[in-house]
Order: sequence, then structure tokens, then C-alpha cells
Amino acid sequence: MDILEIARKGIEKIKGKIEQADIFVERRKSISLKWEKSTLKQVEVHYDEGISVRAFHKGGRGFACSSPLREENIDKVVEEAVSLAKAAQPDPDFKSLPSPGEGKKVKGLYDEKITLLSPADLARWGEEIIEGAKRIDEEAVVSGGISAGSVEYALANTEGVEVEDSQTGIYASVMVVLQKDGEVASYYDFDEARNLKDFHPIDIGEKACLQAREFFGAKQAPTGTYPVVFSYLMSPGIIGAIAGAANAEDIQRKRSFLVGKKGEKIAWEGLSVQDLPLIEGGMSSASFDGEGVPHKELNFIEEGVLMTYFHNSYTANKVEEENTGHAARFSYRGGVGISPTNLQIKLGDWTLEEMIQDMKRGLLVLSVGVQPNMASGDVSGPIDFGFMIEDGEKAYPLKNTMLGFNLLDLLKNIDAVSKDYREEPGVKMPALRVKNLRVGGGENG
Amino acid sequence: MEWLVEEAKSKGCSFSEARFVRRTSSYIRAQDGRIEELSQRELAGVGIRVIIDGAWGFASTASLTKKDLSASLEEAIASAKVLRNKVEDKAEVVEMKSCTAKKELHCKISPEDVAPEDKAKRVSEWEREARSLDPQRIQNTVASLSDVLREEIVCNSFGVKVESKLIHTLATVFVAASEGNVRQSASERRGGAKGYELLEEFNPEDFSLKAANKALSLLSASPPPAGTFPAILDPEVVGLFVHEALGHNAEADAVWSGQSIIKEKKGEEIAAPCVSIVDDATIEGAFGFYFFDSEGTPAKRNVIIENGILVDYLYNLETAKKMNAQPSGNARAESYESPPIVRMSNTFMCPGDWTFEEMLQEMKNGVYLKGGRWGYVFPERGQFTFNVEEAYLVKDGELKEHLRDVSMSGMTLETLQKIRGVSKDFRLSSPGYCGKGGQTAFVDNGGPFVFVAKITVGGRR
Repeated sequence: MDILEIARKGIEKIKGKIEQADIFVERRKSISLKWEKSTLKQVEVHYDEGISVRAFHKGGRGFACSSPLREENIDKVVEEAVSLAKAAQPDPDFKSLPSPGEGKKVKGLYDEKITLLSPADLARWGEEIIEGAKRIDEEAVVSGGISAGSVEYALANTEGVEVEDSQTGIYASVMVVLQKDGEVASYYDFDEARNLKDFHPIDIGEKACLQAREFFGAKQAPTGTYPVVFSYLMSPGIIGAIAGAANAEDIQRKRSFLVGKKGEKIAWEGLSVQDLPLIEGGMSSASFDGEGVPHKELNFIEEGVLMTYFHNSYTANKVEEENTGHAARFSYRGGVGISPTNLQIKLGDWTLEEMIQDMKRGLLVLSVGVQPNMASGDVSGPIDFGFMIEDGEKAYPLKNTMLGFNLLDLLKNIDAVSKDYREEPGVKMPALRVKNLRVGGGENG
Repeated sequence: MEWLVEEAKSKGCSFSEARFVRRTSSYIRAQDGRIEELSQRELAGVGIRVIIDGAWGFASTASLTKKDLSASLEEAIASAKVLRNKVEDKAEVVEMKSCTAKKELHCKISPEDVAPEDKAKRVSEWEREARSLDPQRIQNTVASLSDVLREEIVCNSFGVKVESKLIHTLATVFVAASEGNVRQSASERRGGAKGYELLEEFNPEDFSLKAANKALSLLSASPPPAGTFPAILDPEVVGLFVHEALGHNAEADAVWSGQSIIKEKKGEEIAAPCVSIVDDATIEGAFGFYFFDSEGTPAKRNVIIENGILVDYLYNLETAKKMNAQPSGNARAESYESPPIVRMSNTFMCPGDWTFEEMLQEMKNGVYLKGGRWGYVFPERGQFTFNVEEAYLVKDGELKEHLRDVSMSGMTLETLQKIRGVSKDFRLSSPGYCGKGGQTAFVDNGGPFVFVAKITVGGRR
């Protein structure tokens, strides 16, 4: 049966039993291939389908989900959600689910060619990725995988929202481990796309291997304070952590370090970030959010000023602000949260190479564990992959070296954004330079 | 289920396995004075795994019609056939003895017998207790209670058919507090492979009030210094270390694929002699308990390190065959959608003969790290990182300055060798979910207090 029809029928069944509800129906198919120890290992084929119901009684919420999509399961989840909502406490902050709205259809999110990929197609890519790494170093141990899939989903609610969409995606990643004289060096790379035309994974094995070779001879940096350049792949992690803290739910619950910061200057005036959900073929693009609200573009940080928090219908109604359309629903199995989409940093006027050359003594960080304490914004994480820079050149790779900073301090201490970048569908990732950060390593330097 | 295995045999599979999993769960969350979510989930399906000419194929489906199950089997077979001439490391498994078994965890209070309203009342109490401790400074409190009933049937071409039913219950509380510009949070969790009798095993002082007190006390704590220090790790941090830093390296799939720092070290002294580390899925009531793994092998107690010597790894059927070992009962799959992979269960360091006080006196100056928040590891490089909930600077053998937002990092083998002392006190009290290969597994970990000569701390001063 057509999935929107299933959602519609569910809404008909629930009307009269409860004040408001929404129903999400999903079918998902994927194929994946894993490689390990430099040889193809296993193909997996998955099919999943299911339905979830959110029901609201005096604002109290009940949620139920079930698979497979059988008639009796649909009746069951409707009944369960209604009875759970009635057992929940009333919530006066809940005003209403969204009403239908007009939005723009995002192009390039579905490519039939991806749905037609066979295990043999994935195996060909897998072999080429492994061979790429082996061409650089015959002894390279290569692991990783590639997965391709499609999802069709539909959402209907008691207020008249009825939306449906289909999306495809393909993702490959590789980890290369090298050994030399008892020392181990490693690195990773990836490629992702919604359309086959944007997917170019062949060279990721070679690139990861070339980068891994640079990590032999790693040393601990001396403890001290250094300027730090965060390379391309780091900027989404840093900006993503800031955007995560701008989740209106966390703001309203007063557990984010961005509480009370809206409208304030939180970063260097050269930093601007937009949330762009409508980019054609973007990895985080979609025409509407997880509650069926049409997406639109948004200025998140403008010249250092925090312009907005990210809302879903509940958080927006609670404080009577405009719903920014950031309800996130990743599968029928989960509820509705809040998430930004494609976060784009405004490009600057340096190149990454110029940032490095300009550095007397500092660090180049390719990857650091940015898992902040969301209440305080404090980060204390290891430099997973990085280099000590001396006189504008890489002096040695780093090991057992940690960064400690507060995200708000870091934002104010950024003093350059690069004009060059790494691009994945929907986002250009520039490098960022930060004036001074505290580094925990060996004896004080 | 058996018919799928028979059909696979008739189509030339040298090994086949059909696994049905149904997971029924309920979840209740109270936040800031209100029950805000009651949810119920039921997911079921079948995963089919085959070997043809040394190649694996796997397919899963949520549709349980005979037609769709047959189609899934065909997909698994077709996938294996694509790889059969391309796989260099041929798939093979240890032969199992034919057996039929059925085990069910009998709990004292079944979650199914407790009304949602009663569950909600209990969760509201925890949330209220935490909030009422200091309504001025406590900004956000969340309490939750979840239970998961997991039914699994494993059938394979060796004539194995095992069925098991498990219940896991988990209670959590989270508290965020603020004062001036300082914001801090803390949490507590209690869980086990048991029913709602779990809730009778702790009181507010030990749970909701403990989290609230911790969040409040962190408001006046200082950021940590940066550098390398001697350290005492509490049982939760030790649990994080044995699981993340050592345990993942002991998983035989990592060893076999060349991504473990302890490959080819069996029989070698890789840790200080006071160190023994065990993975034990048979501890009744512990969060990582199970009867059979997802390949049908009975759960076991497996010694990884004994008195500093690496004794053995953790295996599934495939790695046991390839590494000439016995399956250790560590093949686990999150659901029907995932093939079983090598996982830990309840992993811990065994107790020693020191007291905490003796460690403080011996260390004199350093840091005391308490409460594991999160951790991750690069197994192939042997580098680990943990974030801890709180810490103290130790000066002249006494706990002095309280520290917040502390992460530590080190090299696993170096750290294992630098362990100077292991305490008598022991706790296995970190119920949680371990992620690997896109799957999560119920695990617990813990140990004694441990004194380490050197650890790197990421600080802001």
C-alpha cells in the first residue's frame, strides 16, 4: 500500500480518540559491503518498514512504533499511543502540531541509479579503494565499507499536514593502518553523496594511505599555549557543536552554554554561518522538517552575532517565536528532536597553506575529539591526528596530546577562515585558525 | 526458522543461520516537573547469514511473510555469490554440536505487570527529589526508566536451535545546575538484566540526590591543569579503561584484521603483574548478562589478562576457527538487522590488595579521576581518551582542589605497564550501551581503584 495512504488512514482512525496526533510511515532498503584486512568481507542487504504514532492529550505525549507494516500493527500502535498520551501528565506548553505550509521542493535528493546498485557494483568500488591504498604501500592494512540505500517516508497529522518524500544516499569510508619498525600509523577518509554523479570514492584509499604515512615518528607536544589551525574536516565538528548547543529545547531547559546569548556577539566578527536545508543534493537537505514544516534558509551566526536558536513546533510555540523548521526525525523508531541541517561557514581570504606558513610555532589539527560539556561549553579532548608546526612547516606528528578550551572562548579567538575548503554535497568546509589554545602534553615547552 | 536453514543447505550454503529477534521496549521520561514522554516500541524481524565458497552473505527483513523471508534468503545467497571469487580471507566457522535449548530470565517484578501510571509515578519521584535539593540553582532535571524485553531464536545448519528471553531495566537521572556564568551537569544510572526489582536496590541518596549534589558541587570546581600526572582512577574510570582501551583490542576480529595492539602477544606480559582483566557474560543480574550469544554459543567467563599476562582474546565462530581457538560466546547482534560480531559483555579488572588511602599516600601528588562520562579508542594505535565527570588535585596525599570537565589520554600498553596498585574495593556499576560497527550492545564494566604512574590530562590552565 502507498505509505501516505497508510498514514492518512491512521489519522482517520485516531481522530475522535485524541485531540492531536501525527503518524510517520517509512520503508527503507539498503545494501552494504564491508572490507577488512585488505579484502572484501561481507555484503549485507536490509529491508525495514514501520510506523510510529505521536498522540497528544492535553499536551501530554504518547509515542508508539511498530514493524512490520501490517494492518493489525497499525491499529495496535494507534491504540497504544492514545492510551500512553492519556496516562501522561498534561503539558500546557504544548500548543499545537504544525498546520500545512507551502515550501520549496529540493532537487537532487533521489537518484534511481543508487537503488539499482548491486553487490557487484559495491564490490568493484571496494576493490579499487583497497588497491588505491596498496599502490602507495603494499603492506597497508585496509578496512572500511560502502553502503547505499533509499528511504521513502510519509507524514500526516490531525491538522492537515500530508507530506511524503524519497531520498537516496551512498557513503564509503576507509581506514588505513601502516606499520614500520614496530610503530603504527593510521588515517581515514570518506566520500558521500545523494546522487551517483557526486560520488567519487575511488581515491579515498590512496589519500588515506598517503596521509597515514605522515604520522610515523609521532611525539607528544610540550604542554603550553599555542596558536592552532583546524584543518578542513574539523570545522563542521566545531560549528556543529555550537549549533548543537543552540537547540531551543536545551536553551529552554537551561542546560546549554548558549542560554541568553541570542542577539549577542559570541564569536569573532569575521565568522558567519548559515543553515541551508534547501541545497540541491545536500546530505542534510530536505524539503520539510520532521514535522512536515517547509524548510527555509537561516542565518545562524552573522558577523559573530548569534542570530537564532533552532526550533521545532513545540519549542517555538512555548516561547511564541517563529518555528525555524528544525524538527528532526531520523526514523520511525524515534521521536522528534531538533537538529540543524547543512551548516555553511562563510569563506575567508586565507588558504590553509598560508595559515601554516604564517605560523612560527603552533599546531595543525586534522581531528580532535570535540565532545563538549553542553552545559559549560568546556572541551577537553585528544588530538587524534595533528602536527606540530615550526617556522611554517610540519615539524612532527602528534601523539598523546590534548586540547582544553571553552567553545565560547574558541569562537572569540578565531582570527581567520580559509577561502579554500573540502566540499561534500551540501557543505564547503574551510579551515579555521584560533589564536591561542591550551595544550596538554609532556614536559612544559 | 528451521526451513530457512534447510532451504539454504539445499542451495549449496556450507553454513547458514536464521535468527529471529523481537524487541519490545517501554520508556518513560520526566523533565522539569512533568512526565513528558511515555513510549512503547515493538520491532521484530529475521536476519539470515550464509557462507558459500568461503564468502559471507547477510540479509535481513522486517517482513515475516514466507515469501519475503525466502526473498531475503535469496538476497543473502546472491550477495555471497558475488564475493566468492573476490574474498582472499575465506569465511569459515568452528563446527558446533547440534543442540536445542531454551532459557528465560525470570524476574521478580516483570515490567509488563507494572501499569504505565505506576512507572510514571516512580520516575516523577526521582525527578522531584533531584530538583527539590536546590530549586534556585538546579535548572534542569530529567529522570527516565526503560525496560527492554528481547527474544532471540538462533537456528543454524549445525542443528543448533537456541531460544532466549532477557529483560533489561535501566534508570537514569540527569541534573544541570548553574550559578552566575557557570553551568554544570551530572548524572547517575542504575541498570541490570533484571526486572523492576532493580528499583528496590537503590535509594534517593544514592541516585537522584547523588546526581544533584554532584552537579551543584561542580559549580565551584576549577578547570583542570594541562599536563602529565600520576593518577588514581575510580572503579567507573577503570571500567571505561578496561572496556575501551583494552577490551576492544582483545576482540578477535580486531586482532585477526590487524587492528589490535595486542595481536601476536598471547602469553606475553603486557601489563603490570597486579593486573587481571576478565570478560564475564554469566554474572546474573549484570547489564551485560546473557544466556547464549547471537550465534547460539553459551555465555562464558573469559580471562583476558591474568597477573599481567595476556591469556586469550574474545571470539566468535569465525575468528575461533581462524585462530585455532574455542568460541568464547562473545558474538552478539543488536537486532535481527545486524550480523553477530565480536563484543564484550561485563568487563572488569579484578580487585587487588591496596586501599584507596594507601594509594593517596603513595602517590602524594597527582590527580584523582572519578566517574567515566565517555571514551573512545584508536585500537590500532593503542591510544585512548576518556572524559570523566569530576576530578581532584591530590597534594601531599590529600584530596584538594575539585576539578571539572577533565579528559585524559594515554597509550594503552604503556598505561597497563604503569599501573602501580589495585585496590580491594571493587564495583561493577557502569551499565550502558557499547557501540561498534553501527550496533549497540548491553554491557557493564568496572573494577577496583587503580593507581597509575602517568596519564595526560587536557586542561585549560
